Amino acid sequence: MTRKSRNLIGLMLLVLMTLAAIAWLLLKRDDIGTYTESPRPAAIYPDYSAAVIPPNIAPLNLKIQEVGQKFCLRLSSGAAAPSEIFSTDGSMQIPPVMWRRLLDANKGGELLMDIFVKGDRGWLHFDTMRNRIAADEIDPYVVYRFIPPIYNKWDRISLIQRDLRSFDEHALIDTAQSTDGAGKNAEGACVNCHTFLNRGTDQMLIQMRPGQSSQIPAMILVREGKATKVDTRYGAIPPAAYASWHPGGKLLAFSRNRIIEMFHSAGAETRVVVDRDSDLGLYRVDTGRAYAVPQISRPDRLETFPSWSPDGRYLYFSSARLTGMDKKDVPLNYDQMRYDLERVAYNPETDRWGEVETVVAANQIGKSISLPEVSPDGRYLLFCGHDYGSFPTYQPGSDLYLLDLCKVASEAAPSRSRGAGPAAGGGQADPARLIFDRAALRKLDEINSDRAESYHSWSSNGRWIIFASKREDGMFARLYLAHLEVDGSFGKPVLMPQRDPLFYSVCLMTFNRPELIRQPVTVTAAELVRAMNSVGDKVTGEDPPAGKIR
Amino acid sequence: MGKSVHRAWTIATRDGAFFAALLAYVWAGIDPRLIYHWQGPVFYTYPGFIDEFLKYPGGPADYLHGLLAQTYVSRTAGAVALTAGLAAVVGLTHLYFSSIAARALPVLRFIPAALLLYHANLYYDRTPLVAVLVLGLSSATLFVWASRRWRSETGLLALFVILLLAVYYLAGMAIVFLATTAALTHMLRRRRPPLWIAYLLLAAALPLSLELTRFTYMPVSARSWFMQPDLRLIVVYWGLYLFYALGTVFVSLRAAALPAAPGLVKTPRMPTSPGAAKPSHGKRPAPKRRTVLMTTTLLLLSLGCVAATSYSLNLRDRRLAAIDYYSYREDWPAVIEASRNMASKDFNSLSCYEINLALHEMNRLGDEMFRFPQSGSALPDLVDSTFLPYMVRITDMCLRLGRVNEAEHFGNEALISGRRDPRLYRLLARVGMVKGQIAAARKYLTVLSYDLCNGSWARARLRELEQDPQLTGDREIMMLRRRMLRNEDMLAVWQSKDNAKANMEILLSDQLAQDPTNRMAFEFLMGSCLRTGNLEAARALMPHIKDMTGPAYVGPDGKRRTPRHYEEAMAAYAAMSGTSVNIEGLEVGPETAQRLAAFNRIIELTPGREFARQAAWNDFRDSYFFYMVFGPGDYR
Repeated sequence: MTRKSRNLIGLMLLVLMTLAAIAWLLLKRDDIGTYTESPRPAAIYPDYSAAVIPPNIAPLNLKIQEVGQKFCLRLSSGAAAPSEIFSTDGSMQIPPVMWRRLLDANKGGELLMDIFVKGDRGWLHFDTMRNRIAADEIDPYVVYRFIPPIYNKWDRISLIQRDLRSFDEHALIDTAQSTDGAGKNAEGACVNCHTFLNRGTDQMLIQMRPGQSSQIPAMILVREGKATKVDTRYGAIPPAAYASWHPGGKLLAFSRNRIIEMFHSAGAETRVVVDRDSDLGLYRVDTGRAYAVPQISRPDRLETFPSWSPDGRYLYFSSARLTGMDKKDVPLNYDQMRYDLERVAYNPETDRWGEVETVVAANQIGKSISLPEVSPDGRYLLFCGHDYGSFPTYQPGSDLYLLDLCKVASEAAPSRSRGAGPAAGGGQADPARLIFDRAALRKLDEINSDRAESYHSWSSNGRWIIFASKREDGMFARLYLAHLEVDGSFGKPVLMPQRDPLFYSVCLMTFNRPELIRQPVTVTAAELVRAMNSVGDKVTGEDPPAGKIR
Repeated sequence: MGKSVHRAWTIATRDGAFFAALLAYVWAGIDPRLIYHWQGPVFYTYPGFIDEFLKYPGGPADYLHGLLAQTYVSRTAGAVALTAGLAAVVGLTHLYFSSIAARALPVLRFIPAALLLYHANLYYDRTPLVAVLVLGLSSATLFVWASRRWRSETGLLALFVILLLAVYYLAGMAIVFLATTAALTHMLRRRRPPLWIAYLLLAAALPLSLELTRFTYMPVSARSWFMQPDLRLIVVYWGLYLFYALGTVFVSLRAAALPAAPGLVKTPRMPTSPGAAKPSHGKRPAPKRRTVLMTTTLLLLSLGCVAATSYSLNLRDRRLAAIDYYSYREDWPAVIEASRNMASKDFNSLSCYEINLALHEMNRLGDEMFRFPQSGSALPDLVDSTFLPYMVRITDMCLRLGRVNEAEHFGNEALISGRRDPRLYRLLARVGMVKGQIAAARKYLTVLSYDLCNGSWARARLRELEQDPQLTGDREIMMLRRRMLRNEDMLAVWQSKDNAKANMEILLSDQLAQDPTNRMAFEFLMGSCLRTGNLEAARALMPHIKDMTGPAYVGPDGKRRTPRHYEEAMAAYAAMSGTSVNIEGLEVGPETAQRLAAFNRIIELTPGREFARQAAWNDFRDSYFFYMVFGPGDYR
């Protein structure tokens, strides 16, 4: 054997030994053995304790925020053998396969999380944390906006699709990075208010706000993977904003809002968005015709946030009395405007509209009502209640309310004007008011926080909601999942998990407008950008006869 | 042996002299802290930060630049890092040309350093040119080395493609240097038709195709490597391109005129000149002392010319940057010092405000503000700007005044254009602390704790929050909380029908009403009245003097005093209105009255405005009387 060969063999042995040592260090398992009890729960982030979790959710990776040299998370459920994860920095990233096996085998059961921390005096065990694994799955995907806190300017708006079963996510569109086939992006544009037909993705809608003079505000209508730009402006009438699909898929209800954004000089929240004027309109997808009906574009009221009932027989919306402000001027009483929750009957067979009814009056709960969403089974109506106006996400006092529609009945006759404040008064008869007992309407204290809750979305089985909440810091909204129990209460919400447990602690972006969907979106970002950069089809229609927005 | 040591020593001496001079200029003339301040290079150590840089071509170079630029926070460390970067470029330039032919361009290799020095002197351009050149020259040298040893055209092309892809990903623009080298060396050495075109076409096609197909995200178009809106950048970029291209041609042609070096694979060459028989490798004679002295002098003179040119061309930017920098650092005497040699026309609204702020912080605003140019408005307009230092400054100004919500507003607006700038995070963390939004403050501090320069500050603040969550022991926070506006004035300040801008007078008045001891609101409001000559309003503000504290209002003997300009204004008001001014015990002192009388005498007795101005200049140019009569100007 030559000297060169000996050297080579020696080098190879050295490399092998190094690799073996690294592998040993990586695979080395600590044995907890004996430990001391610590009679308190361990500090963890995010707080994944006493919650109800979807059986198909991604691993709830967490950070143990205790002082120690080694950390262990023991997961157990039912009769299955516990699984342990070790870490030296408290960052617990649960292997997906282990997690999936545990949850699949224990739907409806309890998930126990035991935390051990090794300090100078050996292992310390904290109180066992218990979470319940729900039997009901949540829709596998959520689409949300991922944006910086926006004041006047924005540079980049992303619409993200996240697979809740894993950490996979991708941008449906990123206005700075996504481009059409010609390499042109939609820079400067803002995408908002994405809406899916029946929580599917064959037919969906994205609203677009312009960021450059060459762009126009428009609807991006997506049907079977093809996107079309619809220019919903009509003369000086503002474009469509919030929208809702009729479950039949042929009719779209939308609001036209003339908004103003102002900035508080005092108080916790800096921003305020006010509707100077708003109406509801309708858009026929097959004919491209936009039109208004008098019931939902009344001259003396502001209507916004349309939302169809799952059977398509009611259109729910928020409505406030228009208080004679100069539309060119600032609404001086913006902080006294409170919206009622109303609905109007619709017969899809005859295309006839009924009379408007007040479902919940603002003065019944002392709050302005926005973002009504009926559960897919038609049983519950979830909405936001906040101090004034129609922009809950900028109001720390915004909370979620639940109305049990099974306990609601129509009042026989229309009432006269009600309550005090700007919503009261006026000569016209007020709509009929629905009556319900006190137990039918509930502020959801079990999921609300002392900061803004908003933008909720139902899962297609009606057992889960996802909503945006600023509970962590009052500044950046995060997405929370909450389970609806049989008795109509919600379980403790769970923060949407991330691969890196510390993701949220360094993430200075906000999540909003989550929409749960049953399948992934098929339209490509290039197709969306192509449509956004196109000229767009002008809606046809007639002057809204009863519309007041001119 | 002795000769080669001597040669190395002489070269080292020459290079050392050059880089020592360079270091001195970077330290004193450029001041890397101003680059850091103007550019706000961002670098965080939290996991995931690097991911964004790995997503696009040129990202790794940006990441590296962000890391190296953190040294600019220190004048000395920054100067050393910048000089080391330039030295690396010079060294690689030498290596590159030597790979083509030995002893190539021994003096001219310093030209890129001069261009990069000029680039650094521009302060604002974040293009990581040093990293780009290091990588571009390394790859070009490797290619030249291979091209002299490999016969296979296919092998060379394959190497070029690999290098092209790697270099494009790592440093984007560096492919310009690689491709030019590859094409030129191929054209000059091998002369085979027309493969050199392939090198250029491949290099052009790579960014073009990626930009067209948008296969990957690219924050900057390759077009910007060649076309810039700023002529000064075009000079730098094209200067570098032309230097290396022409240098390559020159060295290659000269090498072709020389016989082949021993040990090299022979490649087809141009016919060699019979007279040029000297081997290009091997021992060389040591240069003569006079030659070394001359080249060193020439180098230093050239460097001096470049430094002087770039310094004078960018003097205004440098001074404005210095004022802004010292203002941010709250080094108030340095702010005044930095403004000393600045021409009156060079002042802008930001620098005017910063000088007034420095005077205010040094308790001298009421006594000396009219010594300095007072043009424009008293405070910078509260408007969105893409110029990050402006946004940082108005955010800071709002916070100082107690307009905490406006600070939050403009801080967040600034984050859109100056993404993740640690200064903004610091300000927004303080906004959260003042507002009692501790969780939000923690979030900004947590991110900041991963910043190399602000990490220790952020961690210290986080520890303070652990011990005192409401920061009741923090005097500065408590002072700002006292100033913080509690009664909404959004409509009054911001929603004027005739003016899209904020009404600064109402804004300041409301701050003074919120906290009558808010000295900043009082002095800037008073300053605004005096600048516009609104003596009636100034008179109405005078009772607030009794609420003011500090050396401006209490003399060394403990007695209350009135700042000089305010007293002068009241004296002028009394004279113009024909009334005596006696405001809650504050009277115009006899000395001020006498000065006013003397000033009036000069004005009355001197015919002509300009003569009167000259006559009053020596004794009165720093008085409010002078400002009132002759208007805004530079009265230093």
